[in-house]
Amino acid sequence: MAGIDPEALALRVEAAQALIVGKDYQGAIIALEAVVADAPEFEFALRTLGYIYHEVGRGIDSIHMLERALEVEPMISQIKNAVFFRTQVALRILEGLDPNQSPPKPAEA
Amino acid sequence: MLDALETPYPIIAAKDLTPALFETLMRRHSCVMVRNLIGMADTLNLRALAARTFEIYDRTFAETEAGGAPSEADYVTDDAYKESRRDMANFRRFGSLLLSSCPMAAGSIAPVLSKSAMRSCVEAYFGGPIGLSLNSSSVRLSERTASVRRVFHQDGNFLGGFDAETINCWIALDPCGSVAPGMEVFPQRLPELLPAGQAEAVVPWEISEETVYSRLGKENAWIPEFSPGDAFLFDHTHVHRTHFTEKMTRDRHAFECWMFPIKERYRKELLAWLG
Repeated sequence: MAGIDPEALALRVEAAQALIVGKDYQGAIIALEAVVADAPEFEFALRTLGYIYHEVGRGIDSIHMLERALEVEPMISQIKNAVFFRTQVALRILEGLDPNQSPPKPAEA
Repeated sequence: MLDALETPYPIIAAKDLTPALFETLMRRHSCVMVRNLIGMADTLNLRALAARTFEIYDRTFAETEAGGAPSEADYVTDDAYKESRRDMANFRRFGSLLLSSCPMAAGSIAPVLSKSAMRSCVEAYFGGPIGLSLNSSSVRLSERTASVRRVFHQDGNFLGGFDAETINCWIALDPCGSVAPGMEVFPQRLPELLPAGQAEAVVPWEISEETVYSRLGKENAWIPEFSPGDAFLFDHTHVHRTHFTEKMTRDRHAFECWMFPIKERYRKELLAWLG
């Protein structure tokens, strides 16, 4: 992250969050993946991308991104969420769904 | 390379672990000991987490005995002191806290197992995706002062019978075997579950010493010496017990991680996908 202004990175993540609010999930993913490419250890972007992957049903990508965020900054609430998402992926496999291309059931979200 | 195929003991270094070698050793011995499966940083983190989990459980249990309410649910969930109080207290007496009630422990061990060299071996062994059972796996503390009998058993007796498909990845977090409680095992494959729960048994799955030693040979017992981060992988048919002597000077923390193929039969295990 050397040479990149954290404030500017945070603004880019917040812009992506605005896209999420407007339900432009793919736009948000593209924006966040660009932030992560520029700053692979920017926890705010990793965590936000992990959650948006979860929202669109990319369960495996979600877990890996959240756990990358946890390696940068361990947070209790995120550790618990990550293992919960792992149980959801197992359930999707049990149901014969592609765990990386099936949104969670509303009750699970 | 440790030549696990040429000695009576199936010991290999994590860097030499391959799905083919793992399967060969498991089929032959029903167990594999893996040196340094978990790296030092992760091992230290897990050791601190295990100690903290037991400390919080014991303190909160005492507080709730005195009429207080649980005030901390990140390490041990409230149900451990309420609905599941009796079960959890019984597990604790035997040195176990189930991962289903320990979210920090569950959330911390799952990624460590996922990125370890062991995971692809177990996936290949079962031929598909695997999950960590949150309902059967546990964080462990074996204390020298515990007044429980350490009994021989095969976990198949309470994990679905002889035809179950499961492998335990038991991870030592403290040096153990001689200075702290370790494991007494028999590196050989058995074609059945041995008779359990005989007259003197303290639990239904206990196999008597007499049965074990007459069937497997006392001279074939193996008491491995573990360093922190070493793992012992074994299946549900493997006869084992905690090894303990009065000369031991230290307690021992460990993780006991039962993994199953993700199949309907094991839904009740509450599986957390590993990958």
